[in-house]
Amino acid sequence: MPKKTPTKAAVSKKASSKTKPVKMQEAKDTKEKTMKDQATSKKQTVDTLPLEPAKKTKSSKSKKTLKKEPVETVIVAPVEKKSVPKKETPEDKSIFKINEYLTGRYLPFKIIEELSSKIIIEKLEKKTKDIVERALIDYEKNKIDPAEACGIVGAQSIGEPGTQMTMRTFHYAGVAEINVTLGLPRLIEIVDARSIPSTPMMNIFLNEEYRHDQNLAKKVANQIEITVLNEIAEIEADLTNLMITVRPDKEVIENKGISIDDLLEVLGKIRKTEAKANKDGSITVSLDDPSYKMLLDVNEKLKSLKVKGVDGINRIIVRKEQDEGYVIYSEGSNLDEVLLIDGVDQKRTSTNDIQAVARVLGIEAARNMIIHEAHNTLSEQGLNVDLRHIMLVADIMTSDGEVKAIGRHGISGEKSSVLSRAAFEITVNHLLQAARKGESDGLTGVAENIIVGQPVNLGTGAVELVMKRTKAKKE
Amino acid sequence: MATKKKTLEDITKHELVPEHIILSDKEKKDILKKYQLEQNQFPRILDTDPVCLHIGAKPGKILKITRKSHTANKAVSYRLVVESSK
Amino acid sequence: MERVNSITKKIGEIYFTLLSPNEIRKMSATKVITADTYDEDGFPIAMGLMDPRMGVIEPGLRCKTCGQRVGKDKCPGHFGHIDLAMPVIHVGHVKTIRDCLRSTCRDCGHLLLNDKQRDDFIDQIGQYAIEGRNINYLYKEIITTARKSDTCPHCGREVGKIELDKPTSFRENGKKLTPTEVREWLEKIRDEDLPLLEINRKSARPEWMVLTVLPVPPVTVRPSVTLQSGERSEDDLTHKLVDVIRINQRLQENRDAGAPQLIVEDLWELLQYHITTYLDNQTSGIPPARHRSGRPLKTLAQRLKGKEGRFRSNLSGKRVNFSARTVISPDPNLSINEIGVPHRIAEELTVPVRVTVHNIEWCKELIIAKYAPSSLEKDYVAGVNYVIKNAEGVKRRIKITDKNAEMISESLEIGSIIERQLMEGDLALFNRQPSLHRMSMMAHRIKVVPGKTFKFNVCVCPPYNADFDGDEMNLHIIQGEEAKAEAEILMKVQENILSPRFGGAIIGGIHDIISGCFLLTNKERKVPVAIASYLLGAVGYKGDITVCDDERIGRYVMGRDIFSTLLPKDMNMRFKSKTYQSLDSEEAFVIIKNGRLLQGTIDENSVGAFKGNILDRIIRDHGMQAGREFIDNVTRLGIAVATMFGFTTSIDDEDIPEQARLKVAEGLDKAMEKIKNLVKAYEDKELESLPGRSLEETLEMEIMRVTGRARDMAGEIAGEHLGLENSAVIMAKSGARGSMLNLSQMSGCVGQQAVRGERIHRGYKYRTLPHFKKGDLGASAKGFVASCYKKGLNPTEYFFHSMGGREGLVDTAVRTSRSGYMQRRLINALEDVKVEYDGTVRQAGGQVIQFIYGEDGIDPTRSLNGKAVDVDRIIADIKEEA
Repeated sequence: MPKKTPTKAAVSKKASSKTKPVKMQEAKDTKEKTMKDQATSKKQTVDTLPLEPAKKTKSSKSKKTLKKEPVETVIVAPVEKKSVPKKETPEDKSIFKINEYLTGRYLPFKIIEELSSKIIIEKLEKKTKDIVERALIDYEKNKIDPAEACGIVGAQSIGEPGTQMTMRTFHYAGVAEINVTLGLPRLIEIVDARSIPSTPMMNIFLNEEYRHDQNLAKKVANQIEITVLNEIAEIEADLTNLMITVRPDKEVIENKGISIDDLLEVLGKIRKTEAKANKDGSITVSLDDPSYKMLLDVNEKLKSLKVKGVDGINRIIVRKEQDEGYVIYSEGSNLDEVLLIDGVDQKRTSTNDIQAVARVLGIEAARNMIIHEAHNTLSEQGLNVDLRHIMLVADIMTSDGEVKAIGRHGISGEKSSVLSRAAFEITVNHLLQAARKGESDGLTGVAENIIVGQPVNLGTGAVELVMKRTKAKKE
Repeated sequence: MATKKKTLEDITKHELVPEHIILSDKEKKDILKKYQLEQNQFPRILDTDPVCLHIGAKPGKILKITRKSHTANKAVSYRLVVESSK
Repeated sequence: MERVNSITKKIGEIYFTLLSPNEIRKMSATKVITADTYDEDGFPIAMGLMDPRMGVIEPGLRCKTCGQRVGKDKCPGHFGHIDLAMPVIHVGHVKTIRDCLRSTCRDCGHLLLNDKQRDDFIDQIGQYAIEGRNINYLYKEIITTARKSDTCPHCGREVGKIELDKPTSFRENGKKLTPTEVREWLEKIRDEDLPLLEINRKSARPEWMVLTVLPVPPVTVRPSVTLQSGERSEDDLTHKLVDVIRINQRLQENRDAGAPQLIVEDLWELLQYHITTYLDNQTSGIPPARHRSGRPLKTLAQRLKGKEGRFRSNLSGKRVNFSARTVISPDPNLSINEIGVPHRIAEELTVPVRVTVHNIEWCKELIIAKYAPSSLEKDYVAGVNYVIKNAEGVKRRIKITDKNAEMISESLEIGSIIERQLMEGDLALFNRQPSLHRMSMMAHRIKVVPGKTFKFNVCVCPPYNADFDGDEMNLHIIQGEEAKAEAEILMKVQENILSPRFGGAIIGGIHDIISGCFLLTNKERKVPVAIASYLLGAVGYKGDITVCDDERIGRYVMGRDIFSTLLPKDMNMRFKSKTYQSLDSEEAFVIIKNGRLLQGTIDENSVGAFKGNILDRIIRDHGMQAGREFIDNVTRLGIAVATMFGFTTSIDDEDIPEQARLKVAEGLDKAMEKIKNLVKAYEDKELESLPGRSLEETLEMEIMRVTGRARDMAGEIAGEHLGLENSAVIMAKSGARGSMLNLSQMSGCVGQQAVRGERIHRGYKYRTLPHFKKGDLGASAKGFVASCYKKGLNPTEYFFHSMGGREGLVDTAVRTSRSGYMQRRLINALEDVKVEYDGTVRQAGGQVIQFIYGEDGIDPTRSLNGKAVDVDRIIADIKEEA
């Protein structure tokens, strides 16, 4: 916990202190824009708030000041489905008609979209009403029943295919050169909400201008990939004068885009040393208190000193994809820093480290990431699990505002029932603590009712039959 | 390092982040009434969440989140802003 | 103790508290003083550990306190107590005691916070409760804040440093704190401060955490067993209590006699040790108490913890009556809803039936049915095992034998309960462990059959994940009416055909059934009339069918017409069959119009378990009942076809002609050459490395690629010469069992063996086996098996093959335990999540998880493979109407 706060605070504070919440445009425009987006966009873009571009104010305010300023936001009226679009494309028109026939009843938007496009293709506009009625009937038939134990069914649907997944983690997925954990170990990692996955990986997309230019792509890659001093320069220890001479290779430096000043900066950060540039392009590092031992220490340090690159990124592969242009794949992940590098597309770059996503992009993004990763892991093994179960697990893991593990350190450990926790793990301590706190177990969950021997409050146990007595009929 | 570093732009434009809107007090009451909920029964979001900081949501407010979904294309959910205890 | 039968009480709440010394004394039935258990005659000693006032374990004796006997609903046992000579710290509360001591002042008992801090914290606690947040942080903060102060804000006394020596000794500023001193300190803590220390004053006072009275569990909790030799062996807890009492006595005597301080303290420590191990024998920091044999004792905490403990082994899951377990075997003639139960099991398990005015005659007949002379002719006659009479308020269970059957039958009253044996049509729950999903336990109708195994329809194997290699399964008989109704409507096999995991059918044709259907409908199959009648008889078809005539064959029926008898009349479908899925021409499609199969081959894509299109359509359009009938009929038809057509396989199904074998050998030789060249290039340092990879890695990857291609090539050549007359190919192509990979391994080339994704490297130094030279990187030295299974593997190839196979087995073994644990955690976290009437998904406490289930409210079972509504179908239907 506390270790990560500094970086987290730094990044997010920077971001928020620069943008002020803005006035919203009028509701009408909103509706129009989003309607159009829905109707025409096939690609998945985020429905963003139609804000005016955020005005960047320069401020170095810290977190405390942000809290003190009371900020009021004007609210956008929620987008309604039934509304008259300004520009009428045939899809909009048919969606409009469908909504008319719906008269306030609910049909998922995806179905409305699909129906409207099929209607146009098959030219069945006249039968729209019948189609809508039929769709509604089918929808009602397929809805989930109340009191359904969706939690257990979801847990079983995810856990049961687990026995068919391989434990074999070594498999080259996607990009042939990068190792990713697959199968059951990966699923367990996701469910355990591990802070750092065993094979962290990032997909770094590039901005428009950088995407198609190989040199620019390489430039970005150089900025990200870790370069160690050993690779670019010769390090000579001068024992008599107790100095170390660093001779950088000119070609390599130029290739990677590092300047002597950069080197000086980095070398200057080593404690108790002083770095001076020489005329022939080499740098002399001298110690503040000359001692033999110090010299050796500094020598060692210099060898593995990080000159450039982002912490945590071990290897970079630059690849040209078909529609995307150049994409960078990295082994190792550091979302906070990579997003800040020039040329990196901040809208699409992502990582498979879920806690990092929660830190940088927010809890909703983490939820999407969990669903995405879990679904990929399962379908890559050839197992077909309905998304709704995975969504339920993801929602439970993120329902408290942070990504919690499934297990006694997370969700199960925070249940309100004493017996449920005691039956799960670490029995005795829980019981004793409950006694001290005077806890009372309301017997609302499943495990405790089973222990006590009563019907459970799910499914058929949630329903009770009541008989209505009528007066006896007169003979 | 002489690399040009930018500052993090609008994270809400990232493709993983859905739209978050702060509800007014009246709307909050409507939602509480509609679902017959108490305030502490909502799903939560921390006030230190990057999106909350971005839009300036305070503890006690309710956010309306419009996600894009694989099952229904668009789905609406709500979260209560809570003070983080760390 | 009388139990009123009519009103069932429901437990509403369970409240946990600590026991105060007064309560312990009040609830005790006797004070325990002596450490002796039984005297010379074998009777328990008064005031001893096995005092009869604490309960009875011998059947026949009566308890002195409550007067009941041993047995169910009889004497439950009563507590006793031991007065400890000196107070002892309860090991379970040690951490809390330490926190209390650290946060309060020794003299005045106040919390070491000033008033402002205190009020602040109280406010925060209240606020957190409203918000429902996790309070643990707050309590930790309170303790750390209180620790910070050096002097008490109320009386000014200096605060000492409290240390805890594992497991139970406290030191203040280095000086030892005796339990008596601790108790006095805790007594001073005020009631108002307790909420800040996470103690509820209504249920616990801090000083109760230091024991002065020890409750003695009843005799029924720690019964003694009589061994075969006649000796009595005491329970572990009794042994421990004996130790405690002995030391307590000695301590008492020594203290009263005024012994030196040192001895008293020693004995006190010993008493503490014994009580600590009595409560928890696995406390870290002290040696566990052991038996004479060396085995550690099983004391109170061990009884509750872990998989074999009270919670997991006796409460969350119990052994039950009215259950049975045997080996399973297949029976395609049963419906999927039915289960064949052997005679012996049907006679042993019973169903309770209440005798009322409507069925008393029938019950009377049933009792004597088994002993009537006509019963000798039939295979099985259901009888009655027990009658439960309610005579004078006492229930009596009477066993029925041939001697008293008549008498009991005559005297049968309304209101008694008879327990009758199983009859055809009774419902039973059938289950196979591990029960991973809800389809692992389904309700079946009983059919009593001869034999000793459970029999059921083959199609039901996938949900149970059962095969017939010796698996055993469990049967549970449903006892009550409510349960019977629930099982009938919710748990029957036909209701569970669709799986919630992905919205498709999980029960459907498998193995031979698919082969049979394939044989029947492939390539315009013509079936001679005699065989056709047999097939139609198997299905039970009563109707017309077209018979054609041909010179060569005689009168025949088209295979697809036979299959069409199973289809409903309003079915119209068109989809690709699996056998021909690679082709794109028209003949690859299965076309059904108005319930008649016009063209195409029926295989896995039509009637198979996960992908059957026809099965899916029937279930969705006509319901589960029709679906069940369809599956039953397809089973019978498929197996009948396979029987009549003589479908079989033998080893010469894997034979390929000589020239094919030569071609394969040629191809493999070329591959070996390529590999040799690669190795040479690597050794001569001429190999170009792939970006980002070292030379060795590149070499390995290239070689793996070559070996993979070699095996594929061998498989292709073999595949060219194995056509659809080959039974193995039929099974692979139709999706019944196996794949073309199996065939290519049997006839072509087995391929590269891999451990952990790489070629075989381990073994001897620098080489895998001594048969090869050191440093040999060639194909066969690293696990490439060039032979096919038919030809046979040579010794080194066999060894590498077994290495690869072993990895698979280990993988399976590790996988089951890890995935089982993950499933257990998932289930535990999600178990009380439920969909409410307003569509939201909520947890037990009312907290909302999702506002609409799955964001669109659709049940995954009923969804069309994830889609909410079948739009295509709607459009197609509306088009038809037009």
